[in-house]
Amino acid sequence: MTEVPGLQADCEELLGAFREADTVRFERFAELWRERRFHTVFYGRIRALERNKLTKKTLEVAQQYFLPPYTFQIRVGALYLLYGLYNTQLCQPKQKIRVALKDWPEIHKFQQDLIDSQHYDAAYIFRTLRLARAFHFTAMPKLLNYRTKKKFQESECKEEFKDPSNRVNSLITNDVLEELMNIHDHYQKMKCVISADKSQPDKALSLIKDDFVVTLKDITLEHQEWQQKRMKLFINAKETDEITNKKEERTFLESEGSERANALARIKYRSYSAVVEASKSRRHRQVKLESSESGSCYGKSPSKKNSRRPQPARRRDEVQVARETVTRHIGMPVIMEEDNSDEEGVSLPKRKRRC
Amino acid sequence: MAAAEAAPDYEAAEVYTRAFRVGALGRGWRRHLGPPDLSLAGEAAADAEAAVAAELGCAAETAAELRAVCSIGVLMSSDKEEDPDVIPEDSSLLTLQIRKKALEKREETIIVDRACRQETLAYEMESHAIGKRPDNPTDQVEEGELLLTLNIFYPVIFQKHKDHKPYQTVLVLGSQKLTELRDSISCVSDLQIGGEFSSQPDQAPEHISKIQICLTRILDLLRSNCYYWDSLKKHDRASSLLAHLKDLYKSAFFYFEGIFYNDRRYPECRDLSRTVIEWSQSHDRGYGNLQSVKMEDYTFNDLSLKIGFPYLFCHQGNCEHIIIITDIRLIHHDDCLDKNLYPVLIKKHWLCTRKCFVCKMYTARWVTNEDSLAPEDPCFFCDVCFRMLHYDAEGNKLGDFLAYPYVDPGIFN
Repeated sequence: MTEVPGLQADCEELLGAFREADTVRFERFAELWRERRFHTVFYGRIRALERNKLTKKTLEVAQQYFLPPYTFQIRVGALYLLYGLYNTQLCQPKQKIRVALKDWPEIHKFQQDLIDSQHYDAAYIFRTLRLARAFHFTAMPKLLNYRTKKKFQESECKEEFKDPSNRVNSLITNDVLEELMNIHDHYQKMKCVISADKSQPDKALSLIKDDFVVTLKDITLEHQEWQQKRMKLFINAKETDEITNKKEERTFLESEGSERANALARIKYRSYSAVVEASKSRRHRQVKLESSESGSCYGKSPSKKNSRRPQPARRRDEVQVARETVTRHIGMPVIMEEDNSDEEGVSLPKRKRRC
Repeated sequence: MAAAEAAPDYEAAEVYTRAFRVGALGRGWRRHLGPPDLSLAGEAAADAEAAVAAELGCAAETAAELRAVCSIGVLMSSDKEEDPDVIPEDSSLLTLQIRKKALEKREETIIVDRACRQETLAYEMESHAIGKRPDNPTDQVEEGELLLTLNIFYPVIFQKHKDHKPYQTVLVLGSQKLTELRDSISCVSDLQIGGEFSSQPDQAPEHISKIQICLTRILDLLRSNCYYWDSLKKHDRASSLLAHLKDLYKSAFFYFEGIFYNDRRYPECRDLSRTVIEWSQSHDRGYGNLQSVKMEDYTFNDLSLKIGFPYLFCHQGNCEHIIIITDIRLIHHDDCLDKNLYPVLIKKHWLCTRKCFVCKMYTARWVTNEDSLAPEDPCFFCDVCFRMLHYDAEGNKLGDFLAYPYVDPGIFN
């Protein structure tokens, strides 16, 4: 058995509900667990050999949510989930939770965070698991048997669960900016010292932009804001989708004004990111929108969006199309260069060159 | 003070890791963990609120509250009458809905739903050593010891095994020598009897039966004790068993990460890897510097290994087994803690034995080639049918054929 069908969906549903509850208290998690009677996930007439395999797989699935890049709340939820699954399993002796050496520093930091932020219930539960010898301390998270032919199931990355990837922020930290500022000031001072006029550097020595550290900081902030906005848009779009499916006519008439504004904004997004489909004769040179996302599940074929043309008449379609647009084509905001070339522009010649 | 070695990580994502010293993994973990984690004693008893409060930095009352709020009873069913075999009717869990359908389908198609003997054997093998403790405390595995899981593949004999090669799974301790693993590998080629015996079938060394396999294993154990060994060697049966190839050709080697570990314990052992090393050095073949060392000088902790990467065990000159290390972890309270039981076999592939062509009942003991009396080449016979067909009442050879004693790979079932 390579996987337990339906298990990932159930775990994600429970963790999703926990996230909605917007808390990290174990009491709340326990309520959600009891509602779903999650302990029955091991039930069914299963013989011992298969039950061992099943339980191992179950713990493996739950364990993946316990590590980065998932958000703090999801990780706490995963900890509770592991606690529940470990203690309600039917195997005797109990199957253990595997922890790899490379992941331990992260887990240790997580535990420290819990204690420091006084999330006593989570810290207590982690401590309880440790004392109960629930962990196997391993070299690697999974057993490896040189299965090169095995197809890796594209693990559904639930975007809402994950922390927005903080690559820019982890590179340009406050320390780095401070350091840069210091070096920059020092450099300016040195230039003044060797210049004729001691109060300001010679014109000949001005080789860099004076305010580049400030600009760098602004760009980093802008990126962060954009990321958060994108996250919000994604979640809103999903909610909008649900609303659309549930309440058919009513909502449209209510907040028409703001809806229209939103829709207009989305159309604008779409127009910046839509790409003209090449004619049949040039099928092999189909233009591709290069999305600057990294490691996202947006990597589906771009040609899909080309078929969704704007239909201003039906509001629902528009919203749905907009949703697709929003979820698939949020490109980076365009940075205007001097020659004003639009990176995600529609011009075919540019694409041809790149192809 | 040496810098902390990096933790093992993938070299090929999700397939195998880069090479690392096994002993370093043990050190890495022991550096991070405290005595309670490494301890092999039973589960720690529920401890005092004071200890909880101290560790979490909270008040004692909070600790008491935590114990109540986070107790596992909170997650269990309040209904004590629940039967784990019964899937609840109205479950919201997708897992259970799917499982229920699968079980219902099984009920429709299978008449008698119970474990077959292969499943029973597999479960027994997996769990027989769990929790075992030695009689002698000095034989107990130490805290912080490493446990390696190895898959040892059978040499491919059958076409049907081309894509999914059958293997055995063995657990070894990090502190064990390579020779201990080598001795524990039971391969049918060790039991093969060399020689053509069509003219003198009675002189073929005693055929292997399951009892004799057992005896061979006992002999191996006793070999370590010289007193018993000397007296046994004089015994007829024992000496005939010794005529088998395992004792005639004792050479073997392991290949891990560019180093050949040769068995040099006995004077008869030869360096089988010499040919390979000479070949590699004769021209610049791009295999780097291959070395040859003695197997008995190394433990698993001394090795540099990749997890999930195929290595080699070679014996009998040309019988090759692929070995893959699938897992390395710290020893745990629930594992077998008796050193003498390691290496432990926890999984074995069930091979169907080849039956006699005539009676289709008994396991084949003879194989014939160029047999004018047999319908196919090669043809397999049990002892009785073989003699009945190929020899007359006086024991004279009838017809033309070549006959070899045959040991079926399924003999270890």
